[in-house]
Amino acid sequence: MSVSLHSAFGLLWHMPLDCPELRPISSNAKPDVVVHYGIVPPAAASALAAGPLRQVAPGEARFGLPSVARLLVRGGDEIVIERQPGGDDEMVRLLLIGTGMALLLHQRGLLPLHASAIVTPHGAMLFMGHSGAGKSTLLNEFLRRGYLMLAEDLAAVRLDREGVAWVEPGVRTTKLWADSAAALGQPTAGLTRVRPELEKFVIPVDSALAPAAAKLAAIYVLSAHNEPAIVLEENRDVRKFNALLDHTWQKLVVKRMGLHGAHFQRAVAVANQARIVRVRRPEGEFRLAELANAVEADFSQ
Amino acid sequence: MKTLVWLASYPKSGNTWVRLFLTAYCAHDHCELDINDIDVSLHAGNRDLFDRVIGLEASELTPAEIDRYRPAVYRQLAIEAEEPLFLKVHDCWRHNADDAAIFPGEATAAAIYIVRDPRGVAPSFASHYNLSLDAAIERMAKVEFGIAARTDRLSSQIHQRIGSWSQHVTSWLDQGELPIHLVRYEDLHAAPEETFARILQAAGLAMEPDRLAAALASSRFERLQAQEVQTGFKERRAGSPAFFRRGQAESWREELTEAQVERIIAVHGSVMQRLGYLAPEERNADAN
Repeated sequence: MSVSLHSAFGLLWHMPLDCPELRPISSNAKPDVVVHYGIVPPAAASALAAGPLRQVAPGEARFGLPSVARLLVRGGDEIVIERQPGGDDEMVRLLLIGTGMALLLHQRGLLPLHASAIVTPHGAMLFMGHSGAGKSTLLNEFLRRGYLMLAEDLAAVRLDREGVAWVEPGVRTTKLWADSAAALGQPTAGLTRVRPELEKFVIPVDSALAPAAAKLAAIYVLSAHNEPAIVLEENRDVRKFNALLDHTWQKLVVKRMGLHGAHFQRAVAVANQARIVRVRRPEGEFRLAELANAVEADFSQ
Repeated sequence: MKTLVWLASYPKSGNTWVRLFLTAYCAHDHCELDINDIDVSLHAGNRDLFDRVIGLEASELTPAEIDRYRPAVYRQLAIEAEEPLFLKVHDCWRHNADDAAIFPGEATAAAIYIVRDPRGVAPSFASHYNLSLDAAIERMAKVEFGIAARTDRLSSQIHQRIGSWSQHVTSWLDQGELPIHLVRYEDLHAAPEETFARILQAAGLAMEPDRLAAALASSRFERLQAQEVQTGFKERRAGSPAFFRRGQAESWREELTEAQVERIIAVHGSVMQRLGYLAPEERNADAN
């Protein structure tokens, strides 16, 4: 059953279902994380709610989406999935590869950021932002320019023993909405949709995947504004730190898992060694080539 | 957990103005109101708010699924809020597919509905969305009008069903689950002190005459407009010349043609009449 082993975020994952988003590994190595189907017992009375769908206690977090699945993420090495009638594999993977993995990465001491990432000769560059900021579109433009992909939507930053920040390779697919695909000249006929109702497509990136972790160099925080110019502005001091906290996956859960002290320290360490540049583009128009040129010029200097 | 105060309106009906007034009133230190430096952005259609509270990205969900979880998002906000929390809403009032109200009564402290004469909305709507007046009037009559409704792209907001102007007004005024405090935009102009004081009362805020006077002064329309000219305003849409445009209740009289006024009345006449925007004989005259 070596086919059920996948590599993501510097970890070996044993999966109970086929995950085309992840890199398969043929090996008999012991997995770092075992994901399996099972019964998710109710949370202890002392567990804290984090929003309506999550219950959190030190070392473990539960996340349940009605009609899809309940997940129990614990100890940094196990995810139990209790499937609900009616939940399809696509939805289960959406929960697992986004929310579930981010919770586990927190438990293992990585910093999961809402970002896509590429490798450049100057190190790893992250494109961080809220949904709709343009992370995937910009990532795909850089893939067309010959850069290799490290991460899409969820980028995991690991600090090594010396405290140096590395970005681990994540998934091997990107997702593009129809308007971004059109802007990139990416045909969508025949591509799988993320959900049948959404014009959002899964695009395999097999030929342009970064093979290994890369040292973090800079983080570009993407947003739109109502001015006509594309503006890059380097963040300083506490604004760097705040940007990292603001774009941490599952940030509501961190404190409730008792991990906020460690999370805080990791964010400080990352803020101290990476440039963090705020990028604002005109809302409603992506001006993709111009935006990528500006970012590329910035990280190439 | 009844802490949420909904500030509901059809777009371009004075919602931001009321939020700026409330922000000025609630500021503890009587500092000058800065339109860009205050939290007027708590918006029921905010995508990031949804993602954070639910723990799953709305960008992976269908509009029906998003509607399914929205009541839970607001209940959670209500649980966490320690004082009344104002939320801007442009959605029409409705139930989701599970027959749950999107804006749950058990989380609601008050619902304030701001309505504006659709003849006044039209020029402002046209300017905001960069449309011709005729196109704006047409869109205001569309039952399927929504914000962030495209399925081929991701918007910074989640999908919000709006409906036509008339549908929007009646969806809020005729639902039986939330008591509504109705505010007419025109009364904010004609009798600001009295109208804003009633808003404070409806929202459950203590009435302090000095604070009211200070908040009225700092959120005067001309002042907001001047500040936008000077520093810009983040809620202005790209392509729209200004967010705070004319701020006059009656300016439509010089901006709309007779034919445009007639088209608005033909579609919205009965609701306009109900709100006192139209005398019965005016409606009949146009109908004839």
